[in-house]
Amino acid sequence: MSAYAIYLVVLALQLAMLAQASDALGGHGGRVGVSSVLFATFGGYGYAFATVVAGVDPATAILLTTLGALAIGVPLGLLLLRLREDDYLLGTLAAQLGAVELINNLPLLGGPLGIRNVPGFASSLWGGLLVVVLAAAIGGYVLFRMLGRPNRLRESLHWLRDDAPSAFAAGISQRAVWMRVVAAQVAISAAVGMSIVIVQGYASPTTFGLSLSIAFLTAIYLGGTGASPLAMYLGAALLVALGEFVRSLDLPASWIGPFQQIVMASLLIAVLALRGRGLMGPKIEVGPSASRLE
Amino acid sequence: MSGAFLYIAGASATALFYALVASGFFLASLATRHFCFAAASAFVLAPYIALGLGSTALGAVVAVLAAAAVGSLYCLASTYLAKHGAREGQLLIVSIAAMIVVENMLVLSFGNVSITLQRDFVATLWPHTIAAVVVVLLLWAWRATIAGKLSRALLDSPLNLALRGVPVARVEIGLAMAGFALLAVGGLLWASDGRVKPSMCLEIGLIGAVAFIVGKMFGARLVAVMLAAIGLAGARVALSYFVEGDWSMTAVALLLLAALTLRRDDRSTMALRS
Repeated sequence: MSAYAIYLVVLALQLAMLAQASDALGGHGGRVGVSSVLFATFGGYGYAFATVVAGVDPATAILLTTLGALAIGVPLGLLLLRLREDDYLLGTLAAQLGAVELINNLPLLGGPLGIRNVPGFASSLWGGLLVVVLAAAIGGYVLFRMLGRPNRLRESLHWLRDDAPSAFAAGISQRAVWMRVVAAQVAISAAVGMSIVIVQGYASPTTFGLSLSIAFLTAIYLGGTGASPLAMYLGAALLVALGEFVRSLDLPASWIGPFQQIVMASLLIAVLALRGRGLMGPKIEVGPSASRLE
Repeated sequence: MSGAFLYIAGASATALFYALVASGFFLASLATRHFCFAAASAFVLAPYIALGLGSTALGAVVAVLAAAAVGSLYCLASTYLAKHGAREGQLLIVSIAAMIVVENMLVLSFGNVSITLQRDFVATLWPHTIAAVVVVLLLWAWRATIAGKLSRALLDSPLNLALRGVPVARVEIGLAMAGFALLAVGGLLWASDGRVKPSMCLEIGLIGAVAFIVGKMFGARLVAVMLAAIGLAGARVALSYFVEGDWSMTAVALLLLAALTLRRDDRSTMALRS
């Protein structure tokens, strides 16, 4: 397998993992947002800071960064969830852009140039692949256990999404349910952030900008929001294939990036307009989870 | 002394432009029933159209009319999506995606470089004076004209308006056109006074979002939104005066988060629980 093919696999896995982590709250919990990119920023910059500035070895840095991201990300994620449903997207977008701008201004984190020469394992590409495959295997398994098949947590999450007052009346603890989902989201997103930084060899504010948010939102809606976490692999693979198709067109080099953005955003609009639940998303009926749990 | 005076004069001009921009977002969002990021595209599109037509007053008029036309189309599309089950969050995503499409089309056409309208255009139109006149006219129209009264009635209760036999869809399209046109005027004046580039879409959208949400906390009225925008302009100018570096987006993003967190809403599931 060529290095470029491995890179595409890594890219698709990264997008799929971000999409899975976000859709756990978006499709299943009714809170569509881009907080995953914020947590990926914590992961990416945490790893770069630990290895380059603090001089910690990569394996320890991954452990420390994951723990640090959980310590900061879970309370922050729960705080953001206090926003009302329709404000959540705006709030997480503001948090993401605020964090990127903050990093942009902090000399300790390299400012606009970011942190360079971030070490990985063996080569940067194989290191990134290793981290993202491990995250995909562990995180994907955890998410599939949580949301991929009927169980108490999934039904509680769906019940809270579909009819919160009756879920509260039935004694479901919103905080306990959300905490488990947010913890999984933070850990997976941080692992993706680390993988991105290892593959690139640097951490830069532009890496974690709006285009990454739009990319994984497109993967979510393409795969199917509220579907099994496995559907996100389909969405991410289609998106990466589309990006490669655009790259294969005979366009001037400076056109490829903006053209890819246009195609991706247009695809997102088309999917939302023509098939709001995506290719594999379920039809949501009022109150099915409540009756099933009872 | 003169430095401080120039600073205050610059802050006042910024506040006027912000009030104009926030009013545009307020009207467009009122019409489309979600915060309309897509309206930011009118802000950047208009100066490029005017520049393409030779930076003349006629070019500016064409740009404003084109923005109004785009606004009506966007309102129709958003109403269609809402009728077919799209929720507010999904409409917001569509709105951001539409903004990104326009932004990148401009980058493809002109490159992501700043533009400014030519000096004779500035001399002819006096950006600050025009912004002040537009703001005053808008407040007067909102208070005293039939269109303004219909808009306020729509804000209070679309259902009540429909029951009285008013074609709500037409009022919404008119509001969207006005909102996009106001943002186009804002873009033209901004480009006459400073510089505009495609990547400004998101920044302008966030400014509009802060003013919209803070304004809604104080009565959801046009004046409240304008005052919130003026306050935001003051905060940004003060920040740039006291702190080194470009923290402007951080300030906007933090203010947006604070406004969202402080906003009281009975529909919050947390509120229901408590």
